[in-house]
Amino acid sequence: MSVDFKRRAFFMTGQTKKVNLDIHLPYLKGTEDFLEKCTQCAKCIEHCPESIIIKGDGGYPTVDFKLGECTYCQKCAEHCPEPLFDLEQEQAWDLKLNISGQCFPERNIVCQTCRDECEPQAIKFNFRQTAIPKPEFDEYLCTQCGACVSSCPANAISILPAQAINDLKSEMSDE
Amino acid sequence: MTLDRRAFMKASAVSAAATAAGMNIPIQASNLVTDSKLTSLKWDKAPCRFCGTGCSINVATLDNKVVATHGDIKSPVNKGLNCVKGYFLSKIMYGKDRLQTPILRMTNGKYDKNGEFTPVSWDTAFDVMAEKYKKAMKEKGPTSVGMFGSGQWTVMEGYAAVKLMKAGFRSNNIDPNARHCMASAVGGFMRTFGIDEPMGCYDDFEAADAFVLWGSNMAEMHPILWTRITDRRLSAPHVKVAVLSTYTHRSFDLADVPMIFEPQTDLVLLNFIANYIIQNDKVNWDFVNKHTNFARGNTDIGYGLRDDHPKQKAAKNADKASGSTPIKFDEYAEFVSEYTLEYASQISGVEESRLLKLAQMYADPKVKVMSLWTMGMNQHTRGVWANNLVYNIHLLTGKISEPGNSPFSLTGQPSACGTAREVGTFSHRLPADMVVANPKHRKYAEKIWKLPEGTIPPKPGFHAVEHNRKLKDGEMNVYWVQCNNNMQAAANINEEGLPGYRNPENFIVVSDAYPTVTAQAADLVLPTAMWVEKEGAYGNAERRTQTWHQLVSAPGESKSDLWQLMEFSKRFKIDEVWPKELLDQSPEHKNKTLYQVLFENGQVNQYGIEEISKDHLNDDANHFGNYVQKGLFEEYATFGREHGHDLAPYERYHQERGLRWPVVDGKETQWRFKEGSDPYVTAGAGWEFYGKPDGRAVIFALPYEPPAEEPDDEYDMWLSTGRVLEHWHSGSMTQRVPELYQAVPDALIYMHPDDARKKGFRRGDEVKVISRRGEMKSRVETRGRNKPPKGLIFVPWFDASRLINKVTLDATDPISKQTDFKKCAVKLEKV
Repeated sequence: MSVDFKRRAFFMTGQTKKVNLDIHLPYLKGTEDFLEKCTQCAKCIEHCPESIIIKGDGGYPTVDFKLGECTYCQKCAEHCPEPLFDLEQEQAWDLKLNISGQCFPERNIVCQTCRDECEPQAIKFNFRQTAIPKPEFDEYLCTQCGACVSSCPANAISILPAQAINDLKSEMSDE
Repeated sequence: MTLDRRAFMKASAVSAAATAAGMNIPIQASNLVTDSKLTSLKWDKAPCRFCGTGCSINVATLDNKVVATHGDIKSPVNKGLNCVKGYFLSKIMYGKDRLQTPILRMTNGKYDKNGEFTPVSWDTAFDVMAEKYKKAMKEKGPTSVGMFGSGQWTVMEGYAAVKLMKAGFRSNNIDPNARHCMASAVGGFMRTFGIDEPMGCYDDFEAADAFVLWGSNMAEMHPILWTRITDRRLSAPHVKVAVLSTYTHRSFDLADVPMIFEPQTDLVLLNFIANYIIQNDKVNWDFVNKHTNFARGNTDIGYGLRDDHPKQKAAKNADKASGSTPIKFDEYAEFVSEYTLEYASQISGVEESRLLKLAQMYADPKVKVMSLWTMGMNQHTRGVWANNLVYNIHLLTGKISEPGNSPFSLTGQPSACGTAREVGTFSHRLPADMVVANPKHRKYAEKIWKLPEGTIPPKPGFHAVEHNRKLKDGEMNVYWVQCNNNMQAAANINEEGLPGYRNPENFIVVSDAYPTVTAQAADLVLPTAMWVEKEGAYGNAERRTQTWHQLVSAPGESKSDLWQLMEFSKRFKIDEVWPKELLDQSPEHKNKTLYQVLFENGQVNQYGIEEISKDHLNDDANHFGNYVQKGLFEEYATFGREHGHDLAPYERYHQERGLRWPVVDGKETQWRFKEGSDPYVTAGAGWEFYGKPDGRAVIFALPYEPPAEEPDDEYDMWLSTGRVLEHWHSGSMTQRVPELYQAVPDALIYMHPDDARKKGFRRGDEVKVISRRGEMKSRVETRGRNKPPKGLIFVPWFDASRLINKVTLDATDPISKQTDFKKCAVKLEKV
């Protein structure tokens, strides 16, 4: 069973060093830079056509994939009065998807809801191995759009900043 | 997943932390409690509330509430597995808008068809209802009242409803929603075998060498049975799976031989296979000579449209649709000889090589074949024919009634077989495959019911589609809908359904747990107990009868359908509903209520409440003062015992994970019509199709005939409708489970990307689906689980806010009267 990093983070935050789980906005120059310069004017929240940006911890805009997917339309960047964005960068953000052991097929319950949501077909279900096909995730195909997160009826999919997962992993190995 | 105490405590801490943080982990909460020692959970068994598979579920209750469910590992059907819907069963009863009291449309304290829904007492509700029934029957006779029931009724509820309608009110205008679902399957069984329901069973899954899906997306609609096929395919490499459909769906993931055919051309493919078997000398002559007859069915039988429809007027045999004449094998062989490989491939659009592979599966005597189908074949204007044609292939090759050799008609509802079909809640039927048109059958029923001869009217009542037409025309005026959501299900509601319900002359009663589309179109809505809020029995697709105990109380003033039917019957004196000549025949019934005559007949009320399980609730039995469920079940069972439909004593079902009828000498039957397995087969016969007087099944010569409506220049696309894995039927239960709603919130329009591009649509665009009858709006989906070919769109019907049945056509199979929800012509426009 894979680790549910989101839940793991609940145990760890507060006890040990702070791990930042928030996904702020795509195409940011850097998290530190963002936290320093964002004025919390909420223009990005207002203009996100998918309405997935909310006021998060400390008032900073934060993407909540439970509300929908990021289409990389760059409206948040367009409407931001501050120089927070670098639209030239190859990858909008560095996120990692994790499917936890809560996933229904892992528990012998037939479900493939996430499969439909994934445009690049990074989540596949292999019928040739088990009678209840389990999701197989292809990291290289994943566009980190978050479309799969809200659809999961088992609440098993999380997307977290890669940095946060690395921090948690090192915390765990220290445990 | 098992958890030790430490893990449990840890997980509880997570739950608490998560809740405090406003994070949603409901799954964790309901899944943790698998060890009864940790809590005071009480575990019981029940069949699942959803599809016809009939999975057995373990249900946990705490403080009079269902808190968890999981697949029953002792169940021979699902062996501990569950689908995502079954997993969330514990939440279906707890939607926020659960109805708590009867509500009646009123203005200034009085019933008013155009008034607002106002809470009333059961007394007031029944007063108004009884007044409407009495007025209608007095003015227009018994056929002015009707009832629309369900394959989700318990066996006892369906039985009580048949009795109340056919013997009490003396109206045969009762039909179940199974008319939309299984009527063509029934027609197929009755025409070919003379007795309803599959001869095989789920054990065929582990014995077959080839599986052929004819219009069934089992991967989504029967997911647990699909895991059994998948298991078989993976563990036995020689096994092949062929999937036929008019669009690509999830079952194609497993297909060795995938085939997309032009709508309606399944009739050609089936005849081609029969022809192939004959041309290649693969007929099992020993079997055919001993166990079959041949017949030619009437053709040009119309489309079940209104009589004044031009297509109906043009049909030569619209009034003799089910007729046939005996023929010889040679005539049959000549008939199918025109269905060549070239013709079949050309008309269906399927490559010749794939058709050959399919035909070879059936023809090879060494390959055991299981054919499976559901709505693709039943919701078809030639649905009965299609069913007959599948049996033809299995009969020509003798591949029937043996482990793995099995033409298997799957069912959609939990008790389509157990209640709608076996109890006979159709307008033309009585229990145990009997029909009202047969005087011997009526007499038999009247004797069991201890009623005078002539009580049951001989003329079949209006069928489901006619119900809406007759309501619109004002011929039927009082109508009670129980346990289904027909305003979201029936085709063409713009022109037929809604005008019928809102016809000022009519009074519409809907019993439901939630304010469904149908309830909202009604005049009186009765709050209704669901599933384990009552004791009941269901019968699944493999003839397996299962019972369950009442495990929790129903909320507010909700009552079971059974309570409603029986309690309402107290409002009628027999003298008010029966004619004088019937009363004169049975003076003992005079001045009695319908309740006394039907349900206090010394049979239904013969088991005392002391027989009820001490560990369980039974609100209905306690209310009526006797074990009503047992009494109704046992009286009903007398119809079928020693008539090929034997059921075990009621008590036994509470101990078992179901039993497959006929249950003879305590033993269930896996394969009917086969010596050694079926006790009804005469020794030495080998096979015996004892539903027919001569013990022979019929092989039918039936042609291809075109569908009722096809795309043209204006309405240029085919529309097919159906379901999705996450939602069941109209979604009235599953759309109220937050996790399932979130998984698939809206019905989408699945279409080919090239069609979308051609019409200038992008994925996610809102577009209108328009037919000659109505329109609906939804969003375009060009990827995902269903991939239609060019020229066809697929729209699911679970979404109450996007009613595709405003668009669909109410053309039916003229024999089965089942609607074709899979084929009509539409056009699309950007909103």
